[in-house]
Amino acid sequence: MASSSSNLISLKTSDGTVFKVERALAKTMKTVQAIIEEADANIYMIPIHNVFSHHMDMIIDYYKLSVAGKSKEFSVEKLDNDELKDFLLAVHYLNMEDLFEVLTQAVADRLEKKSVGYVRKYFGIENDFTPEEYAAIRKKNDWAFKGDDIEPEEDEEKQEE
Amino acid sequence: MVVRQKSDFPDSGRILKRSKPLMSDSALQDKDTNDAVEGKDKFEDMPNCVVLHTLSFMETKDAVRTCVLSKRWRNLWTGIPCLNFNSKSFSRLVDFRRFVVCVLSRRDSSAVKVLNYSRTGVDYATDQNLFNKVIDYVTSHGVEEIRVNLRAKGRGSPPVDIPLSLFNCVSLKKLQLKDCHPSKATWILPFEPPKHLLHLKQFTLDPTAPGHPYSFAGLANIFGFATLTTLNLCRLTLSFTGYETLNPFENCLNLKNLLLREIRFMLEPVPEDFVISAPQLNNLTLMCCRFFKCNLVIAAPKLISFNYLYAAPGAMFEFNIPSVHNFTINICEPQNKLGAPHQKPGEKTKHGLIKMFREGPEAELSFSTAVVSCGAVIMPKKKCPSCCRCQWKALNLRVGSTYKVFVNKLDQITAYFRHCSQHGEYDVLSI
Repeated sequence: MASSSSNLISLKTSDGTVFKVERALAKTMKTVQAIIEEADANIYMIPIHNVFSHHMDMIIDYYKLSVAGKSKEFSVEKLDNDELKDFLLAVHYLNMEDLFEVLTQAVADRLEKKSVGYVRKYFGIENDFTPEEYAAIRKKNDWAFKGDDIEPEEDEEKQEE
Repeated sequence: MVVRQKSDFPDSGRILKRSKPLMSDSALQDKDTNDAVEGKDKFEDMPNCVVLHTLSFMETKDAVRTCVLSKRWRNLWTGIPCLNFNSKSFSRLVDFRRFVVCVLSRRDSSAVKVLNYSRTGVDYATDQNLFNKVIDYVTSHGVEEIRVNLRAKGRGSPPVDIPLSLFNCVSLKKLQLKDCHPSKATWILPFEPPKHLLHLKQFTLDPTAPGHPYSFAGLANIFGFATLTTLNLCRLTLSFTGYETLNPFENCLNLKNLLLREIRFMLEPVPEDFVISAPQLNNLTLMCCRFFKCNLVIAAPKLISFNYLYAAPGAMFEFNIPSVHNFTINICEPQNKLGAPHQKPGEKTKHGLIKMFREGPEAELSFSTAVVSCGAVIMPKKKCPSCCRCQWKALNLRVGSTYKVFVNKLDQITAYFRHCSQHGEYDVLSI
Protein backbone atom coordinates (compact mmCIF):
# COMPACT_ATOMS: atom_id res chain seq x y z
CA MET A 1 0.00 0.00 0.00
CA ALA A 2 1.37 3.34 -0.87
CA SER A 3 2.36 4.72 2.43
CA SER A 4 3.65 8.06 1.40
CA SER A 5 3.01 10.43 4.22
CA SER A 6 3.20 13.35 1.89
CA ASN A 7 -0.08 14.80 0.72
CA LEU A 8 1.32 15.56 -2.66
CA ILE A 9 1.40 13.28 -5.64
CA SER A 10 3.80 13.86 -8.47
CA LEU A 11 2.40 13.65 -11.96
CA LYS A 12 4.58 13.84 -15.03
CA THR A 13 2.95 15.05 -18.20
CA SER A 14 3.75 13.99 -21.74
CA ASP A 15 5.92 17.03 -22.26
CA GLY A 16 8.06 16.18 -19.27
CA THR A 17 6.74 18.65 -16.73
CA VAL A 18 6.23 17.42 -13.20
CA PHE A 19 3.24 18.66 -11.26
CA LYS A 20 2.90 18.13 -7.55
CA VAL A 21 -0.77 17.93 -6.81
CA GLU A 22 -2.79 17.41 -3.70
CA ARG A 23 -3.94 13.93 -3.00
CA ALA A 24 -7.52 15.12 -3.16
CA LEU A 25 -7.05 16.32 -6.70
CA ALA A 26 -5.37 13.08 -7.71
CA LYS A 27 -8.39 11.30 -6.31
CA THR A 28 -10.61 12.96 -8.88
CA MET A 29 -8.53 11.28 -11.57
CA LYS A 30 -9.68 7.72 -11.44
CA THR A 31 -6.91 6.51 -13.70
CA VAL A 32 -4.27 7.96 -11.41
CA GLN A 33 -6.07 6.73 -8.35
CA ALA A 34 -6.05 3.21 -9.72
CA ILE A 35 -2.32 3.38 -10.29
CA ILE A 36 -1.74 4.60 -6.75
CA GLU A 37 -3.86 1.89 -5.26
CA GLU A 38 -2.22 -0.87 -7.21
CA ALA A 39 1.28 0.12 -6.28
CA ASP A 40 2.53 -1.49 -3.14
CA ALA A 41 5.39 0.82 -2.51
CA ASN A 42 5.89 4.50 -2.52
CA ILE A 43 5.35 5.94 -5.91
CA TYR A 44 7.68 8.70 -6.80
CA MET A 45 6.17 9.84 -9.97
CA ILE A 46 3.18 8.86 -12.01
CA PRO A 47 3.45 9.43 -15.72
CA ILE A 48 0.29 10.59 -17.38
CA HIS A 49 0.40 10.01 -21.08
CA ASN A 50 -1.72 12.04 -23.44
CA VAL A 51 -1.82 14.85 -20.94
CA PHE A 52 0.19 17.99 -21.49
CA SER A 53 1.20 20.66 -19.07
CA HIS A 54 -1.32 23.15 -20.42
CA HIS A 55 -4.01 20.56 -19.72
CA MET A 56 -2.80 20.16 -16.16
CA ASP A 57 -2.92 23.91 -15.69
CA MET A 58 -6.58 23.92 -16.65
CA ILE A 59 -7.31 20.89 -14.55
CA ILE A 60 -5.82 22.59 -11.53
CA ASP A 61 -7.84 25.75 -12.27
CA TYR A 62 -11.01 23.72 -12.39
CA TYR A 63 -10.16 21.91 -9.20
CA LYS A 64 -9.54 25.14 -7.34
CA LEU A 65 -12.81 26.62 -8.55
CA SER A 66 -14.82 23.55 -7.67
CA VAL A 67 -13.34 23.36 -4.18
CA ALA A 68 -14.43 26.97 -3.69
CA GLY A 69 -17.90 26.08 -4.93
CA LYS A 70 -17.44 28.11 -8.09
CA SER A 71 -17.22 25.38 -10.68
CA LYS A 72 -19.70 27.23 -12.84
CA GLU A 73 -17.14 29.94 -13.39
CA PHE A 74 -14.87 27.57 -15.22
CA SER A 75 -14.86 28.37 -18.89
CA VAL A 76 -13.24 26.84 -21.92
CA GLU A 77 -14.38 29.55 -24.29
CA LYS A 78 -10.84 30.66 -25.02
CA LEU A 79 -9.91 27.25 -26.36
CA ASP A 80 -10.32 26.73 -30.05
CA ASN A 81 -12.05 23.61 -31.28
CA ASP A 82 -8.93 21.50 -31.58
CA GLU A 83 -7.65 22.53 -28.19
CA LEU A 84 -10.98 21.65 -26.69
CA LYS A 85 -10.93 18.24 -28.33
CA ASP A 86 -7.44 17.55 -27.03
CA PHE A 87 -8.39 18.62 -23.55
CA LEU A 88 -11.48 16.43 -23.63
CA LEU A 89 -9.42 13.42 -24.58
CA ALA A 90 -6.90 14.14 -21.85
CA VAL A 91 -9.63 14.37 -19.24
CA HIS A 92 -11.21 11.24 -20.61
CA TYR A 93 -7.93 9.41 -20.28
CA LEU A 94 -7.60 10.54 -16.70
CA ASN A 95 -11.19 9.50 -16.07
CA MET A 96 -12.32 12.63 -14.28
CA GLU A 97 -16.07 12.52 -14.13
CA ASP A 98 -17.12 16.06 -13.35
CA LEU A 99 -14.72 17.81 -15.66
CA PHE A 100 -15.58 15.33 -18.37
CA GLU A 101 -19.23 16.30 -18.13
CA VAL A 102 -18.30 19.97 -18.36
CA LEU A 103 -16.17 19.46 -21.44
CA THR A 104 -18.57 17.21 -23.32
CA GLN A 105 -21.28 19.76 -22.67
CA ALA A 106 -19.00 22.46 -24.04
CA VAL A 107 -18.34 20.45 -27.19
CA ALA A 108 -22.05 19.74 -27.59
CA ASP A 109 -22.81 23.44 -27.21
CA ARG A 110 -20.39 24.26 -29.99
CA LEU A 111 -22.04 21.74 -32.26
CA GLU A 112 -25.60 22.56 -31.45
CA LYS A 113 -27.81 23.37 -34.39
CA LYS A 114 -24.90 23.33 -36.73
CA SER A 115 -25.09 21.77 -40.15
CA VAL A 116 -23.77 18.37 -41.04
CA GLY A 117 -20.93 20.02 -42.89
CA TYR A 118 -19.86 21.92 -39.80
CA VAL A 119 -19.95 18.82 -37.64
CA ARG A 120 -17.95 16.90 -40.17
CA LYS A 121 -15.37 19.61 -40.23
CA TYR A 122 -15.30 19.87 -36.46
CA PHE A 123 -14.77 16.20 -35.86
CA GLY A 124 -12.46 15.92 -38.82
CA ILE A 125 -14.51 13.15 -40.30
CA GLU A 126 -13.80 11.78 -43.66
CA ASN A 127 -16.85 11.14 -45.69
CA ASP A 128 -16.40 7.57 -46.83
CA PHE A 129 -19.74 7.20 -48.47
CA THR A 130 -20.01 6.89 -52.18
CA PRO A 131 -22.49 9.36 -53.64
CA GLU A 132 -24.97 6.56 -54.00
CA GLU A 133 -24.51 5.39 -50.43
CA TYR A 134 -24.85 8.94 -49.21
CA ALA A 135 -28.06 9.39 -51.14
CA ALA A 136 -29.39 6.13 -49.77
CA ILE A 137 -28.71 6.90 -46.14
CA ARG A 138 -30.04 10.40 -46.55
CA LYS A 139 -33.24 9.11 -48.02
CA LYS A 140 -33.61 6.37 -45.47
CA ASN A 141 -33.39 8.87 -42.65
CA ASP A 142 -35.34 11.56 -44.37
CA TRP A 143 -37.57 11.89 -41.35
CA ALA A 144 -34.66 13.38 -39.43
CA PHE A 145 -34.11 16.10 -41.95
CA LYS A 146 -37.63 17.31 -42.30
CA GLY A 147 -39.00 20.56 -41.19
CA ASP A 148 -35.99 22.73 -41.74
CA ASP A 149 -35.48 25.68 -43.95
CA ILE A 150 -32.00 24.71 -44.95
CA GLU A 151 -31.06 21.33 -46.24
CA PRO A 152 -27.88 20.27 -44.49
CA GLU A 153 -25.84 19.71 -47.59
CA GLU A 154 -26.30 23.29 -48.64
CA ASP A 155 -24.32 24.49 -45.67
CA GLU A 156 -21.25 22.64 -46.74
CA GLU A 157 -20.76 25.01 -49.59
CA LYS A 158 -20.69 27.97 -47.31
CA GLN A 159 -17.48 26.99 -45.55
CA GLU A 160 -18.69 27.62 -42.10
CA GLU A 161 -16.05 28.06 -39.45
CA MET B 1 -33.94 15.72 -52.69
CA VAL B 2 -31.30 15.77 -55.31
CA VAL B 3 -27.92 14.64 -54.18
CA ARG B 4 -25.36 16.71 -55.85
CA GLN B 5 -22.27 15.47 -57.58
CA LYS B 6 -18.93 14.78 -56.02
CA SER B 7 -17.68 18.30 -56.33
CA ASP B 8 -20.05 19.15 -53.55
CA PHE B 9 -18.49 16.87 -51.05
CA PRO B 10 -16.22 18.81 -48.78
CA ASP B 11 -12.66 18.12 -49.66
CA SER B 12 -10.84 16.79 -46.68
CA GLY B 13 -8.02 19.24 -47.09
CA ARG B 14 -10.15 21.98 -45.68
CA ILE B 15 -11.23 20.00 -42.68
CA LEU B 16 -8.00 19.28 -40.93
CA LYS B 17 -5.63 21.83 -39.60
CA ARG B 18 -2.64 19.61 -39.42
CA SER B 19 -0.65 18.86 -42.50
CA LYS B 20 -2.32 16.40 -44.70
CA PRO B 21 -2.23 15.95 -48.43
CA LEU B 22 -5.01 17.74 -50.19
CA MET B 23 -7.21 15.17 -51.73
CA SER B 24 -8.80 15.59 -55.05
CA ASP B 25 -12.37 14.60 -55.40
CA SER B 26 -11.59 11.36 -57.08
CA ALA B 27 -9.29 10.46 -54.26
CA LEU B 28 -12.24 10.52 -51.93
CA GLN B 29 -13.04 7.11 -53.21
CA ASP B 30 -9.61 5.89 -52.26
CA LYS B 31 -9.76 4.78 -48.68
CA ASP B 32 -6.22 3.58 -48.21
CA THR B 33 -4.07 6.66 -48.09
CA ASN B 34 -5.77 8.53 -45.36
CA ASP B 35 -3.73 8.58 -42.20
CA ALA B 36 -6.59 10.43 -40.55
CA VAL B 37 -8.33 7.12 -40.24
CA GLU B 38 -5.16 5.69 -38.83
CA GLY B 39 -5.37 7.72 -35.68
CA LYS B 40 -3.48 10.91 -36.24
CA ASP B 41 -6.76 12.71 -36.28
CA LYS B 42 -7.74 13.04 -32.67
CA PHE B 43 -11.42 12.95 -33.09
CA GLU B 44 -11.62 9.92 -35.26
CA ASP B 45 -9.65 8.35 -32.50
CA MET B 46 -12.24 9.36 -30.03
CA PRO B 47 -13.83 6.34 -28.51
CA ASN B 48 -17.51 5.81 -29.12
CA CYS B 49 -18.37 6.31 -25.49
CA VAL B 50 -17.02 9.86 -25.56
CA VAL B 51 -18.80 10.63 -28.80
CA LEU B 52 -22.05 9.27 -27.46
CA HIS B 53 -21.63 11.25 -24.30
CA THR B 54 -21.18 14.42 -26.29
CA LEU B 55 -24.14 13.65 -28.48
CA SER B 56 -26.29 13.12 -25.38
CA PHE B 57 -26.22 16.82 -24.65
CA MET B 58 -27.50 17.69 -28.07
CA GLU B 59 -31.03 17.68 -29.20
CA THR B 60 -31.86 14.30 -30.66
CA LYS B 61 -32.70 15.87 -33.98
CA ASP B 62 -29.14 17.09 -34.38
CA ALA B 63 -27.71 13.88 -33.03
CA VAL B 64 -29.55 11.67 -35.50
CA ARG B 65 -28.25 13.72 -38.38
CA THR B 66 -24.76 12.49 -37.67
CA CYS B 67 -25.78 9.34 -39.52
CA VAL B 68 -24.63 10.93 -42.78
CA LEU B 69 -21.17 11.83 -41.60
CA SER B 70 -19.47 8.60 -42.40
CA LYS B 71 -19.90 4.85 -42.20
CA ARG B 72 -18.71 4.75 -38.64
CA TRP B 73 -21.35 7.26 -37.74
CA ARG B 74 -24.18 5.66 -39.61
CA ASN B 75 -25.74 3.96 -36.63
CA LEU B 76 -23.81 5.55 -33.82
CA TRP B 77 -26.78 7.69 -32.85
CA THR B 78 -28.88 4.66 -32.02
CA GLY B 79 -26.92 4.16 -28.82
CA ILE B 80 -27.21 7.65 -27.38
CA PRO B 81 -28.47 7.27 -23.84
CA CYS B 82 -30.42 10.53 -23.78
CA LEU B 83 -33.46 11.52 -25.73
CA ASN B 84 -34.09 15.22 -26.14
CA PHE B 85 -37.26 15.84 -28.06
CA ASN B 86 -38.35 19.37 -28.69
CA SER B 87 -41.21 20.09 -31.00
CA LYS B 88 -40.11 23.68 -31.46
CA SER B 89 -37.35 22.47 -33.72
CA PHE B 90 -39.88 21.24 -36.19
CA SER B 91 -42.01 23.51 -38.27
CA ARG B 92 -44.85 21.06 -38.27
CA LEU B 93 -46.05 18.93 -35.41
CA VAL B 94 -46.69 16.05 -37.74
CA ASP B 95 -42.99 16.01 -38.61
CA PHE B 96 -42.17 16.03 -34.93
CA ARG B 97 -44.43 13.09 -34.39
CA ARG B 98 -42.92 11.14 -37.22
CA PHE B 99 -39.45 11.93 -35.98
CA VAL B 100 -40.17 10.67 -32.49
CA VAL B 101 -41.78 7.50 -33.71
CA CYS B 102 -38.88 6.77 -36.04
CA VAL B 103 -36.30 7.34 -33.35
CA LEU B 104 -38.08 5.03 -30.96
CA SER B 105 -38.36 2.30 -33.53
CA ARG B 106 -34.82 2.53 -34.84
CA ARG B 107 -32.95 2.95 -31.65
CA ASP B 108 -30.93 0.05 -30.40
CA SER B 109 -31.79 -1.76 -27.23
CA SER B 110 -29.49 0.17 -24.95
CA ALA B 111 -30.80 2.02 -21.93
CA VAL B 112 -32.12 5.52 -22.00
CA LYS B 113 -30.91 7.45 -19.04
CA VAL B 114 -32.57 10.81 -19.57
CA LEU B 115 -35.68 11.88 -21.39
CA ASN B 116 -36.46 15.50 -22.13
CA TYR B 117 -39.77 15.76 -23.87
CA SER B 118 -41.08 19.14 -24.78
CA ARG B 119 -44.07 19.45 -26.99
CA THR B 120 -45.71 22.78 -27.46
CA GLY B 121 -49.11 22.34 -28.97
CA VAL B 122 -50.82 24.73 -31.30
CA ASP B 123 -54.16 24.58 -29.66
CA TYR B 124 -55.57 23.13 -26.58
CA ALA B 125 -54.65 19.77 -27.94
CA THR B 126 -52.19 17.21 -26.88
CA ASP B 127 -50.86 14.14 -28.54
CA GLN B 128 -51.67 11.68 -25.82
CA ASN B 129 -50.86 8.74 -28.00
CA LEU B 130 -47.36 9.98 -28.74
CA PHE B 131 -46.77 10.87 -25.12
CA ASN B 132 -47.79 7.37 -24.08
CA LYS B 133 -45.48 5.83 -26.65
CA VAL B 134 -42.52 7.84 -25.45
CA ILE B 135 -43.13 7.18 -21.78
CA ASP B 136 -43.73 3.50 -22.39
CA TYR B 137 -40.50 3.27 -24.34
CA VAL B 138 -38.26 5.01 -21.85
CA THR B 139 -39.71 3.34 -18.79
CA SER B 140 -38.99 0.00 -20.36
CA HIS B 141 -35.42 1.09 -21.06
CA GLY B 142 -34.33 1.96 -17.56
CA VAL B 143 -34.86 5.71 -17.61
CA GLU B 144 -33.61 7.62 -14.60
CA GLU B 145 -34.61 11.20 -15.34
CA ILE B 146 -37.69 12.48 -17.07
CA ARG B 147 -38.54 16.07 -17.81
CA VAL B 148 -41.77 16.79 -19.56
CA ASN B 149 -43.12 20.09 -20.82
CA LEU B 150 -46.44 20.09 -22.60
CA ARG B 151 -47.33 23.72 -22.87
CA ALA B 152 -50.11 24.50 -25.28
CA LYS B 153 -49.91 27.75 -27.14
CA GLY B 154 -51.51 30.56 -25.27
CA ARG B 155 -54.25 28.77 -23.51
CA GLY B 156 -52.41 27.07 -20.69
CA SER B 157 -51.76 23.39 -20.68
CA PRO B 158 -54.01 20.76 -22.14
CA PRO B 159 -55.32 17.91 -20.04
CA VAL B 160 -53.08 14.91 -20.13
CA ASP B 161 -53.12 11.44 -18.73
CA ILE B 162 -50.00 10.12 -17.15
CA PRO B 163 -49.38 6.64 -18.52
CA LEU B 164 -49.41 3.85 -16.03
CA SER B 165 -45.94 2.75 -17.04
CA LEU B 166 -44.58 5.88 -15.40
CA PHE B 167 -45.99 4.90 -12.06
CA ASN B 168 -44.54 1.45 -12.34
CA CYS B 169 -41.07 2.51 -13.35
CA VAL B 170 -38.50 1.18 -10.95
CA SER B 171 -35.49 3.00 -12.32
CA LEU B 172 -36.90 6.52 -12.23
CA LYS B 173 -35.04 8.87 -9.94
CA LYS B 174 -36.00 12.34 -11.10
CA LEU B 175 -39.29 13.50 -12.47
CA GLN B 176 -40.30 16.93 -13.60
CA LEU B 177 -43.72 17.66 -14.98
CA LYS B 178 -44.17 21.13 -16.32
CA ASP B 179 -47.39 22.38 -17.77
CA CYS B 180 -49.02 19.01 -17.65
CA HIS B 181 -52.49 19.75 -16.61
CA PRO B 182 -53.73 16.41 -15.42
CA SER B 183 -56.98 15.13 -16.65
CA LYS B 184 -59.27 14.12 -13.91
CA ALA B 185 -58.91 10.46 -14.52
CA THR B 186 -55.39 9.81 -13.33
CA TRP B 187 -54.82 12.27 -10.59
CA ILE B 188 -57.77 12.57 -8.33
CA LEU B 189 -58.95 9.04 -8.11
CA PRO B 190 -57.64 7.30 -5.07
CA PHE B 191 -54.84 5.04 -6.09
CA GLU B 192 -53.55 1.91 -4.61
CA PRO B 193 -50.04 3.09 -3.79
CA PRO B 194 -47.69 1.57 -6.30
CA LYS B 195 -45.15 -0.48 -4.44
CA HIS B 196 -42.66 -0.11 -7.21
CA LEU B 197 -41.97 3.57 -7.54
CA LEU B 198 -39.58 3.49 -4.66
CA HIS B 199 -36.61 5.32 -6.01
CA LEU B 200 -37.89 8.74 -6.92
CA LYS B 201 -35.45 11.27 -5.55
CA GLN B 202 -36.56 14.47 -7.13
CA PHE B 203 -40.01 15.52 -8.18
CA THR B 204 -41.10 18.80 -9.64
CA LEU B 205 -44.64 19.54 -10.54
CA ASP B 206 -45.48 22.79 -12.25
CA PRO B 207 -48.82 22.77 -13.99
CA THR B 208 -50.47 25.85 -15.35
CA ALA B 209 -54.01 25.13 -14.46
CA PRO B 210 -54.14 26.71 -11.06
CA GLY B 211 -57.81 26.21 -10.67
CA HIS B 212 -57.53 22.49 -10.74
CA PRO B 213 -57.34 20.99 -7.30
CA TYR B 214 -55.06 18.18 -6.36
CA SER B 215 -55.40 15.88 -3.51
CA PHE B 216 -51.95 15.87 -2.04
CA ALA B 217 -52.57 12.49 -0.59
CA GLY B 218 -53.37 11.30 -4.06
CA LEU B 219 -50.12 12.71 -5.40
CA ALA B 220 -48.11 11.20 -2.59
CA ASN B 221 -49.70 7.86 -3.22
CA ILE B 222 -49.10 8.00 -6.90
CA PHE B 223 -45.50 9.01 -6.74
CA GLY B 224 -44.46 7.26 -3.60
CA PHE B 225 -42.90 10.20 -1.88
CA ALA B 226 -41.03 8.15 0.68
CA THR B 227 -37.74 8.25 -1.20
CA LEU B 228 -37.86 11.84 -2.35
CA THR B 229 -35.00 14.10 -1.44
CA THR B 230 -36.14 17.11 -3.41
CA LEU B 231 -39.71 18.13 -4.01
CA ASN B 232 -40.86 21.19 -5.89
CA LEU B 233 -44.54 21.91 -6.16
CA CYS B 234 -45.46 24.97 -8.10
CA ARG B 235 -48.77 26.60 -8.79
CA LEU B 236 -50.94 23.93 -7.33
CA THR B 237 -54.26 24.16 -5.72
CA LEU B 238 -54.48 21.64 -2.98
CA SER B 239 -57.73 20.16 -2.04
CA PHE B 240 -58.37 19.21 1.50
CA THR B 241 -60.53 16.45 2.82
CA GLY B 242 -61.65 18.20 5.95
CA TYR B 243 -59.53 16.92 8.77
CA GLU B 244 -58.22 19.43 11.22
CA THR B 245 -54.58 19.14 10.59
CA LEU B 246 -52.97 18.75 7.25
CA ASN B 247 -49.50 17.27 7.37
CA PRO B 248 -48.75 16.11 3.89
CA PHE B 249 -45.01 15.66 4.07
CA GLU B 250 -44.67 13.64 7.22
CA ASN B 251 -44.06 10.45 5.28
CA CYS B 252 -41.32 11.96 3.22
CA LEU B 253 -38.64 10.47 5.36
CA ASN B 254 -35.79 11.46 3.10
CA LEU B 255 -36.97 14.85 2.03
CA LYS B 256 -34.19 17.40 2.27
CA ASN B 257 -35.32 20.22 0.03
CA LEU B 258 -38.85 21.45 -0.29
CA LEU B 259 -40.08 24.24 -2.46
CA LEU B 260 -43.68 25.33 -2.43
CA ARG B 261 -44.47 28.04 -4.86
CA GLU B 262 -47.85 29.65 -5.37
CA ILE B 263 -49.66 26.96 -3.51
CA ARG B 264 -53.07 27.58 -2.19
CA PHE B 265 -56.07 25.76 -0.95
CA MET B 266 -59.44 25.50 -2.47
CA LEU B 267 -61.57 28.05 -0.74
CA GLU B 268 -63.51 25.65 1.41
CA PRO B 269 -62.70 23.71 3.43
CA VAL B 270 -59.45 25.12 4.66
CA PRO B 271 -57.44 23.27 7.24
CA GLU B 272 -56.83 24.95 10.53
CA ASP B 273 -53.17 24.05 10.56
CA PHE B 274 -50.99 23.31 7.63
CA VAL B 275 -48.07 21.41 9.00
CA ILE B 276 -44.83 21.08 7.17
CA SER B 277 -42.85 18.49 8.92
CA ALA B 278 -40.25 16.16 7.58
CA PRO B 279 -37.53 14.60 9.65
CA GLN B 280 -34.63 15.30 7.30
CA LEU B 281 -35.73 18.60 5.87
CA ASN B 282 -32.83 20.98 5.43
CA ASN B 283 -34.13 23.68 3.13
CA LEU B 284 -37.61 25.04 2.94
CA THR B 285 -38.70 27.72 0.54
CA LEU B 286 -42.17 29.16 0.35
CA MET B 287 -42.89 31.54 -2.44
CA CYS B 288 -46.09 33.46 -2.85
CA CYS B 289 -48.24 30.88 -1.19
CA ARG B 290 -51.64 31.90 -0.05
CA PHE B 291 -52.78 30.24 3.06
CA PHE B 292 -55.85 32.16 4.02
CA LYS B 293 -57.07 31.57 7.52
CA CYS B 294 -54.58 28.81 7.95
CA ASN B 295 -51.77 28.45 10.44
CA LEU B 296 -48.55 27.34 8.99
CA VAL B 297 -46.65 25.12 11.34
CA ILE B 298 -43.15 24.14 10.43
CA ALA B 299 -41.70 21.34 12.45
CA ALA B 300 -38.48 20.28 10.86
CA PRO B 301 -35.73 19.47 13.31
CA LYS B 302 -32.92 19.58 10.77
CA LEU B 303 -33.91 22.75 9.01
CA ILE B 304 -30.97 24.83 7.92
CA SER B 305 -32.60 27.51 5.86
CA PHE B 306 -36.04 28.90 5.50
CA ASN B 307 -36.88 31.26 2.70
CA TYR B 308 -40.18 32.97 2.58
CA LEU B 309 -41.23 35.13 -0.29
CA TYR B 310 -44.18 36.94 0.93
CA ALA B 311 -47.33 37.59 -0.96
CA ALA B 312 -50.23 38.18 1.31
CA PRO B 313 -50.51 39.88 4.65
CA GLY B 314 -51.53 38.13 7.75
CA ALA B 315 -49.48 34.99 7.44
CA MET B 316 -48.95 33.31 10.74
CA PHE B 317 -46.37 30.73 11.22
CA GLU B 318 -44.53 28.97 13.93
CA PHE B 319 -41.77 26.50 13.77
CA ASN B 320 -39.29 24.41 15.66
CA ILE B 321 -35.79 25.67 15.40
CA PRO B 322 -33.43 22.93 14.51
CA SER B 323 -30.53 21.99 16.64
CA VAL B 324 -27.95 23.05 14.13
CA HIS B 325 -25.89 26.15 13.81
CA ASN B 326 -26.43 28.92 11.36
CA PHE B 327 -30.08 28.53 10.78
CA THR B 328 -31.13 31.32 8.50
CA ILE B 329 -34.50 32.85 7.98
CA ASN B 330 -35.12 35.07 5.01
CA ILE B 331 -38.37 36.92 4.72
CA CYS B 332 -38.92 39.20 1.85
CA GLU B 333 -41.50 40.74 -0.35
CA PRO B 334 -41.60 40.12 -4.05
CA GLN B 335 -39.53 42.59 -5.93
CA ASN B 336 -40.59 44.44 -9.00
CA LYS B 337 -39.52 41.72 -11.34
CA LEU B 338 -42.30 39.57 -10.02
CA GLY B 339 -44.89 42.17 -10.68
CA ALA B 340 -46.28 45.01 -8.65
CA PRO B 341 -45.91 44.67 -4.93
CA HIS B 342 -48.99 43.54 -3.21
CA GLN B 343 -49.29 46.47 -0.90
CA LYS B 344 -49.23 50.10 -1.66
CA PRO B 345 -45.96 51.64 -0.58
CA GLY B 346 -46.08 52.90 2.96
CA GLU B 347 -49.00 50.74 3.90
CA LYS B 348 -48.59 48.99 7.14
CA THR B 349 -48.24 45.34 6.77
CA LYS B 350 -48.43 42.75 9.35
CA HIS B 351 -46.06 40.16 8.21
CA GLY B 352 -46.97 37.66 10.70
CA LEU B 353 -46.08 36.02 13.84
CA ILE B 354 -43.20 33.67 13.95
CA LYS B 355 -43.28 31.49 16.94
CA MET B 356 -40.32 29.30 17.53
CA PHE B 357 -39.85 26.44 19.86
CA ARG B 358 -36.32 25.60 20.52
CA GLU B 359 -35.03 22.26 21.57
CA GLY B 360 -31.49 21.18 21.91
CA PRO B 361 -28.22 22.81 22.85
CA GLU B 362 -27.48 26.43 22.46
CA ALA B 363 -26.97 27.65 19.00
CA GLU B 364 -26.68 30.90 17.24
CA LEU B 365 -29.49 32.04 15.11
CA SER B 366 -28.85 34.68 12.54
CA PHE B 367 -31.58 36.60 10.93
CA SER B 368 -31.21 38.18 7.60
CA THR B 369 -32.99 41.36 8.31
CA ALA B 370 -34.84 43.23 5.69
CA VAL B 371 -34.38 46.81 4.58
CA VAL B 372 -36.96 48.62 2.59
CA SER B 373 -36.21 50.72 -0.38
CA CYS B 374 -38.99 52.11 -2.52
CA GLY B 375 -41.46 49.54 -1.40
CA ALA B 376 -39.42 46.55 -2.31
CA VAL B 377 -37.20 44.58 -0.05
CA ILE B 378 -33.49 44.22 -0.26
CA MET B 379 -31.70 41.75 1.89
CA PRO B 380 -28.44 43.04 3.24
CA LYS B 381 -25.61 40.67 3.77
CA LYS B 382 -24.65 40.91 7.36
CA LYS B 383 -25.25 44.10 9.17
CA CYS B 384 -28.34 46.15 9.63
CA PRO B 385 -28.10 49.61 8.14
CA SER B 386 -28.68 52.56 10.37
CA CYS B 387 -32.20 53.25 9.19
CA CYS B 388 -33.31 50.01 10.63
CA ARG B 389 -34.01 49.92 14.29
CA CYS B 390 -33.00 46.38 14.60
CA GLN B 391 -29.36 46.22 15.47
CA TRP B 392 -28.87 42.66 16.42
CA LYS B 393 -27.12 40.21 14.25
CA ALA B 394 -27.30 37.08 16.20
CA LEU B 395 -29.43 35.77 18.92
CA ASN B 396 -28.53 33.09 21.36
CA LEU B 397 -31.34 30.84 22.18
CA ARG B 398 -31.59 28.70 25.19
CA VAL B 399 -32.92 25.29 25.67
CA GLY B 400 -36.59 25.08 26.40
CA SER B 401 -37.32 28.62 25.39
CA THR B 402 -40.03 29.76 23.16
CA TYR B 403 -39.55 32.88 21.18
CA LYS B 404 -42.07 34.77 19.26
CA VAL B 405 -40.83 37.11 16.64
CA PHE B 406 -43.17 39.67 15.35
CA VAL B 407 -42.14 41.44 12.24
CA ASN B 408 -44.09 44.56 11.60
CA LYS B 409 -43.93 47.47 9.19
CA LEU B 410 -41.67 46.79 6.32
CA ASP B 411 -40.31 50.28 6.25
CA GLN B 412 -39.04 49.82 9.75
CA ILE B 413 -38.19 46.35 10.62
CA THR B 414 -38.77 45.96 14.28
CA ALA B 415 -38.63 42.64 15.90
CA TYR B 416 -40.19 41.96 19.18
CA PHE B 417 -39.18 38.90 20.99
CA ARG B 418 -41.29 37.27 23.50
CA HIS B 419 -39.57 34.82 25.65
CA CYS B 420 -42.09 32.32 26.82
CA SER B 421 -41.96 29.06 28.56
CA GLN B 422 -44.28 26.28 27.87
CA HIS B 423 -46.56 27.55 30.55
CA GLY B 424 -47.36 30.74 28.85
CA GLU B 425 -45.38 33.17 31.01
CA TYR B 426 -43.36 35.51 29.02
CA ASP B 427 -41.12 38.48 29.10
CA VAL B 428 -41.23 41.02 26.43
CA LEU B 429 -37.93 42.02 25.01
CA SER B 430 -37.96 44.73 22.48
CA ILE B 431 -34.85 45.37 20.59
